Amino acid sequence: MTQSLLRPNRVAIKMFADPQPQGSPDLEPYIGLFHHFIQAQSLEGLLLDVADYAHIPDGPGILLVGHDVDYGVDLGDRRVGLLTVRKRLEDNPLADAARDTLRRCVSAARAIADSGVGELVFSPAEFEVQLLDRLSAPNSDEGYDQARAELDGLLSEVFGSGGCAVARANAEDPRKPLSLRVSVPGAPDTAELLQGLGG
Amino acid sequence: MAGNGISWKQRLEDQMDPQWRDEIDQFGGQVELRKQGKLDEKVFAETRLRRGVYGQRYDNGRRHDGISERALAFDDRPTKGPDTLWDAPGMQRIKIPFGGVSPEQLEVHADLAEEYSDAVLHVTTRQDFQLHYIHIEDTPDLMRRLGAVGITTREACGNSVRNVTACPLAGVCHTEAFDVSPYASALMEFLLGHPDVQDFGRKFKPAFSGCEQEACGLVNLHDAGFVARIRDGERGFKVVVGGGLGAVPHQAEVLSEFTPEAELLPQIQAAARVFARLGEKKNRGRARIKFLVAKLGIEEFRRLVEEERAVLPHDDRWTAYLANMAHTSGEPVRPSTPLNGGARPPGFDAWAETNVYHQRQAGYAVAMITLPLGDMTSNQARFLADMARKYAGDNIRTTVEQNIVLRFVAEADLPELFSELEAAGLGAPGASSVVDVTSCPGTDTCKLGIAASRGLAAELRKRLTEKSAQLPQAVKDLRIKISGCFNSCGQHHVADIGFYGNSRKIDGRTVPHFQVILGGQWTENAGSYGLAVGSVPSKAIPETIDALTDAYAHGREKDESFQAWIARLGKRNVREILKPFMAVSPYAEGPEFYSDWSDVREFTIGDLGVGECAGEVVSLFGIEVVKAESQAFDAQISLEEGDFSTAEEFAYKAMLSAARALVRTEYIDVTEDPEDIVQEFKARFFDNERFFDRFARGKFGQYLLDRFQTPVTSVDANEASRRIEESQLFIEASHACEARVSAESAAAVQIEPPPGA
Ligand code: SF4
Repeated sequence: MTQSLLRPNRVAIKMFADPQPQGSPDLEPYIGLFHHFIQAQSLEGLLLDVADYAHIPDGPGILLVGHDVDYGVDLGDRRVGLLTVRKRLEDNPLADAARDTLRRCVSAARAIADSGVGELVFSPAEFEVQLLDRLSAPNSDEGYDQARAELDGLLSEVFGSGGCAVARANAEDPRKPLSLRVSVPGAPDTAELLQGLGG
Repeated sequence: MAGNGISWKQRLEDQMDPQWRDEIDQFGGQVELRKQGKLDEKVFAETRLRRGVYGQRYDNGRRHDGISERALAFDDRPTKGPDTLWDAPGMQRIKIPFGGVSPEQLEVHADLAEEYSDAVLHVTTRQDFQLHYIHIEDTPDLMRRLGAVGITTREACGNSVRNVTACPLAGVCHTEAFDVSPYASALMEFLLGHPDVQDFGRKFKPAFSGCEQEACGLVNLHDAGFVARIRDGERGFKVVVGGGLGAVPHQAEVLSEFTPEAELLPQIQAAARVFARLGEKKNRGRARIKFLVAKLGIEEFRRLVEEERAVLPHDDRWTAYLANMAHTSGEPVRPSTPLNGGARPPGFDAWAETNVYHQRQAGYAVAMITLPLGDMTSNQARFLADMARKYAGDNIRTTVEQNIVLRFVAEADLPELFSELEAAGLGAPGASSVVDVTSCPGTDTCKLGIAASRGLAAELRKRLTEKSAQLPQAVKDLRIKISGCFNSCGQHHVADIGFYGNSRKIDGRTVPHFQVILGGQWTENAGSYGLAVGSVPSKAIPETIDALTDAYAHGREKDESFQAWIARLGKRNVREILKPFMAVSPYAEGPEFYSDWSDVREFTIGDLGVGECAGEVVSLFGIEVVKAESQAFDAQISLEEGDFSTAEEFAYKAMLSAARALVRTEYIDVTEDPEDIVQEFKARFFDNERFFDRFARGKFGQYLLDRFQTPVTSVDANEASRRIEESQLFIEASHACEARVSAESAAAVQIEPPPGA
């Protein structure tokens, strides 16, 4: 019997800052930048508002809330990164959803870099793919194996065969979302990557 | 829907109360019907509100982005209610009776926040959880997942019995008569969906307290409050009704000095019937039970309740729970061990001083976890569930100060617990102190918010934490509470230093302000409310707090409380402290005044969606309304001096002056005769609803009309303070009305063709 494809309602990608800041980063500039992104409609998606969560230790930092996608300078798990959460995916297979989320995340990273605002640089050299749907994609060995199999093609296509290493994240805590940590040793820059993703 | 085709509905159908399951299925059906346009939008709005599904800012599809007002390009679908777009995200309120939540329930909240919200769980000032940015289609599954762990969102909003709150220390407290939690739980279960509570004109909020003198239950500010008492060895409650904050705060009045426990449920049922039968239904602004109690007088209200009680058909549930009361005070998971001389990690002592309460049960303590602004992440919620299992069993409670407590922690475990909390970013000291600022959602997410209460709270928390080591103890012990508007969800009336958001038009632009409310009483179950002393620009609030706390620290007499100091100083002198911070620089010199905290956009009264960009010199209204403000201030002085009828008279005059200021923007020759002013105000601004705002409608204008039509004969302190509150709200509404009208005229001028075209 063939297994049906994973179709999570939400997929998130967190692209880590490289280098990681020493101590807490200054998040204030991102409030203004995200408001500017809304004004200029610089990022893909229907962008709604900016939420300041800088007061939460290891929290979502500054969040640009959208209807179908959120972007945030995220401090979760004590690692600063650019988190892109693709929402309302309805019936998209995981590989399509992950491609779309990665493309949006990379273009947000570019837009932030191009703005010259803030101290953080987000690099595709390391990122995490999170499947935020415990019904469709439980954080189990089987869930991981299936997600890994469904994402392999996309990762080879984007980073070349053997171009990245994939490991399971959050395995120690099945309550957390099913997540895959992707390391790309010779990662292309965001412009090149975006081209590869059709962005 | 999962890849394997299973839905949450299928997976969980056997895992919850069948009645809850059917209700949620029915709600899911209503969502579908409304989506297809087959259910009336108002009916659907009431239905979803009764299930805790609330609107959120910008859900009318309009938002001012700092440059201009933009339409948010949601798909064209049926609305979720009047002027509420289908796809616009909303808020889900989740009732947590007496704040009691198990580790398993907390974990489900964490999952829901990640999968449907923004991975943040927010604790409210009524011990609820709120999740924001939720899409309507996700709500039935969200409810199923909660239902499967014993939580219902039924009647979390709407004109119904809201969450039943109680002291987070119930069952472990030294001053309580007995543990009120089982009674709170029984009351919640009895009234949930009860036919006698379905026809209220407004919401109804109950609260329980284990004792009279502390603050934890805040019963005096509730629609119904129950204070545990033992008389001749029998358990019972002092019952109070008709308290409330909101625009016009009321202290609850005593319905019964002692209601035996067996009479608790029938008495509240009888009171609910009286409220449903006689309470106001049409005018939402006067529909809370406090208005009914004030109108009838407590004696008559009591008589009606007793009369109703006598004819109530018997219900076994009134007393059934007493034989088998749920054990809610908790079972410890570790043996009780005193800390004695055990090792203490760095930072532990400071944390323990503010965040640890030694329980009645020897060797056990309550650990308070300070959540900044009531927020925690999904990861932190899971971590707290682990901490509860390891150290405290099922004993997690939310608090009205937007924190979490773990109870029955063995004292010897406290250092280890602290180290673990600290490593997870949850070990901040200062619970219930000046740094632990409470705030409602304000303009972040609330449709009614005027100013950024959360932005201000975060800023104050940061600044006060930085200097907390230098603050005198008397200042550390103060409480700061902030609401984004006069509706008081941040409970600013019972803070030492409270604020509510408003705005002022200056230099042709709108400037966010906060009204400063000083001297509210937190203890004695919110024993008295603070009074307004003046409006300060939002950006000047931190300096205002510094000035106030410095003056208090240096000027207080030995052991003098903040309330006593404010009372001794008198409002006139207090206002002198505030005065230097009330001025706003013109835009060119101080543009920072014209945006709010945590928001770089130039400030607008955003919900109206009108950009306030018409450049003007100070308007006639701006000059004339000052008179109203000083009369309102004089009213407060008279009240303070015990001259109630003069206070009332000044407050009435303040409303007349504000109305006249408005009228004179259109009819310069209006006289000073009250009859002329009221007639002109009514014709020009009230009857045509120009004075109305979208949410309060004509409520504040009605204050003036009512007072004009019904002159007062005798005035007591309550009546005088109520009139003062009314006058302040009337003045605020006049400011808002003038801002709307002038923005409309500016827009009209812009589209007028140039002369000769
Ligand atoms: S006080 Fe006002 S701004 Fe704050 S939550 Fe209540 S209604 Fe909204």
